[in-house]
Amino acid sequence: MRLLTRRQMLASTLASGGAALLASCAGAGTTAPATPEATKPPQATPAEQVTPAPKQAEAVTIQWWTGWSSTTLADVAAKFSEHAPEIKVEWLGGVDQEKFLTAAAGGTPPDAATLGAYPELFSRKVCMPLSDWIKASTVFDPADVFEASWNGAKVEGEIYGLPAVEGFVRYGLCYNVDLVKEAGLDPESPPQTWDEAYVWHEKMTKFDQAGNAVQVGFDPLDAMGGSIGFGDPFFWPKSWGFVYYDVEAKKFDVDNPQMIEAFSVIKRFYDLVGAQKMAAFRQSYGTWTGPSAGFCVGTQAVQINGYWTPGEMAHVAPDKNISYSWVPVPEGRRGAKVQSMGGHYVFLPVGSPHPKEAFRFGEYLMTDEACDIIYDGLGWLPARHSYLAKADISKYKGLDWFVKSVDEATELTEVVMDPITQITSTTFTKLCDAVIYGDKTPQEAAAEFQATLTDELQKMFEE
Amino acid sequence: MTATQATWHRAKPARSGMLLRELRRIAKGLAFVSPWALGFLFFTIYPIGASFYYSLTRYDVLRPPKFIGLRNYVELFTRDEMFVIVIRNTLFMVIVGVPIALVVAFLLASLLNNPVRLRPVFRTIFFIPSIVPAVATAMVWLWIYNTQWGMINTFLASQGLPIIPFLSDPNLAKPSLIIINCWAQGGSIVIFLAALQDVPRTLYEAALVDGAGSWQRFWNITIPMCTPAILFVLITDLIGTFQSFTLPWLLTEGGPNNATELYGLYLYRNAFRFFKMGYASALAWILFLVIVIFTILVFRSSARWVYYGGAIE
Repeated sequence: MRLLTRRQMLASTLASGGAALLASCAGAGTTAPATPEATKPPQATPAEQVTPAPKQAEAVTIQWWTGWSSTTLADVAAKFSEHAPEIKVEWLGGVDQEKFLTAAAGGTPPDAATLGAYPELFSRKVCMPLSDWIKASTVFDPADVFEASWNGAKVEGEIYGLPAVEGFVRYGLCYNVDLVKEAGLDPESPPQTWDEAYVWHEKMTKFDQAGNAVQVGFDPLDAMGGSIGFGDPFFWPKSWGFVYYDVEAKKFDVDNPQMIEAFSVIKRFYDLVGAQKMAAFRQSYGTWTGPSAGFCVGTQAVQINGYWTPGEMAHVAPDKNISYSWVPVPEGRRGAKVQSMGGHYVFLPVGSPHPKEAFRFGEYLMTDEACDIIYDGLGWLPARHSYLAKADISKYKGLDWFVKSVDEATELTEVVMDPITQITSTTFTKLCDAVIYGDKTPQEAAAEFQATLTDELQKMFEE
Repeated sequence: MTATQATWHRAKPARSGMLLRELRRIAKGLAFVSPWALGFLFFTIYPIGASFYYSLTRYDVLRPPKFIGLRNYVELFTRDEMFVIVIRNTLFMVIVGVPIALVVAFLLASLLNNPVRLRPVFRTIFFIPSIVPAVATAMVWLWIYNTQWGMINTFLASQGLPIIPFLSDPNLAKPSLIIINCWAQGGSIVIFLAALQDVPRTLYEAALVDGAGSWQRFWNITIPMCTPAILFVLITDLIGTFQSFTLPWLLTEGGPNNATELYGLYLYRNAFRFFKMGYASALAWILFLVIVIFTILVFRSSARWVYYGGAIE
């Protein structure tokens, strides 16, 4: 055998290195629009009707990236491949926005993704339009999906995501019945307005002798009260009954009396405890329904949270007696029952290498079988009427309230297609801080909110 | 043919052969350094150049960049209120935090340089924090600072005293981060220890003969002889603090009320949360220039206070 000389070795190494470099450069660049071929509806294969196809020589491998890292999602991907052996789904969990953006910018996006920043991605039209495929689907009936959930993926009449994996209602006033009773309040008559909620907050907030907060009644910014984006709607405008962003006119409306009142209410709740003490309390225990969160360990009585709360509480704090009711509204809107859809979507980034196969997988995620795996493993519900009718909601105490709330709500809305949602979220959080710490008045905060969002929006649409 | 021409003709093949050999040697050398050189070119120089270009564009990563000239820079200096807050916070951390951390590290190194019992154990203890991952450091300090069950506040509460809201009081949040920074000075301590051990014993002996006390020896011998190491630590700490990200992100996410919104956090938010990569690139370039200016100032001032023992005047 003839051995390579050092020089030949060096030359071949350099040549292959250069080729690899050129190849990687060729893949880079802005993602290309979908080809007409790719936008044709794929041959849909309903999971229930699938006859396992004879195994082909080589299965197409598609990549599905999700922000969550639960292996239940790997199970559902594997189950799909059992029905469609010609498509292998490689699931990658725990993907953050940075990774997705880097891949998209480099021209190597995954085939399908379920990651948070839907309004930003959809309104920039960097995902493939799916309306034609959805209409042509024989796997699911689009009419079975809540209209509000389709609206959360719609830009200029075109749908950019399949409401799959998780996508049910976002709002419930969750309260600890035992703490309510202990404070001499009636758990059967939960507060309907912010003034009534404040009375609960006041009666259930406790301090030690040194003035430290040992129990907080109601943190209105906890969980869904403070969450905007990543599938969640902006709560405060919904409580006050106004639309903060007009999609048609591309205009924000956050400098109004309602928003000012919302800032004032937040400040009032925080003032009772003290801005620093409340912040310290949140830092110490954590928020939402984490294992050490005040709501779970019984040092916080009330929070605003979504339909997943009964399931999570059953796992994290099974000893706590939690009840659910409508979120508070201002006195002028007494009686309004506010609810909103929200949740996640499976979308195909522009440049998805196998869009047809990825869509078939997305269709599968809309089936009862996939929903069962997800509901059993994670307790998440889809936005489908027929599935909600058949799912065993008695599994988690209180979940029935959320399911019924869809029919009982006087206002069932959706996530607003705000193209700068994360700027809206951060600005709101920072302005809340400024109001709470007394650096700005609610009026100043609302005015700054409006100015910032208007300015950022203008830049976003600047072409 | 003259003698000179004859010499030239004779010399020509030898010189061209030498040139060829020289070229081959250069080519070989270049080939061997090419992995590093290409890496440097494509993964350092190109991104630096690209980031400058992007700083002149409106670029959201997902769509092609649009050239807007210096508008990002103009906006930063004329309209962005948060930029002012971020600069103020970062300068506080640099101007207050870096000298404190440096003094703490130097004093600890001086203590560890003394012939005390279990000296290696103490040195190890002080060095460990600097090799602990930032996330672990954050978790430890979150617990120490915790207002409900942190060790400091538990003690205060048990004595019936008000707790200290380390990370939730806007006035205490930055000093609390500085304390953590002081805790993780193991790297600087090692450098100072090396410098301290390099101070010639003869200088101390001479000072003793002259009747100098311990403070005089420390002030007039130890510190001047360690100034090159102090300069090095000062510059690296300064750059590190300007770029600080992980700890404030994990501990406070810029709060409370923007008290710890440092430059790195703001840059990250703009790039990866707000889809404003062009603006973030402009922020990165301004940070680069600020660091360069600070470094030059420190270097220029070093002529006055750094003493190089072996330097020839």
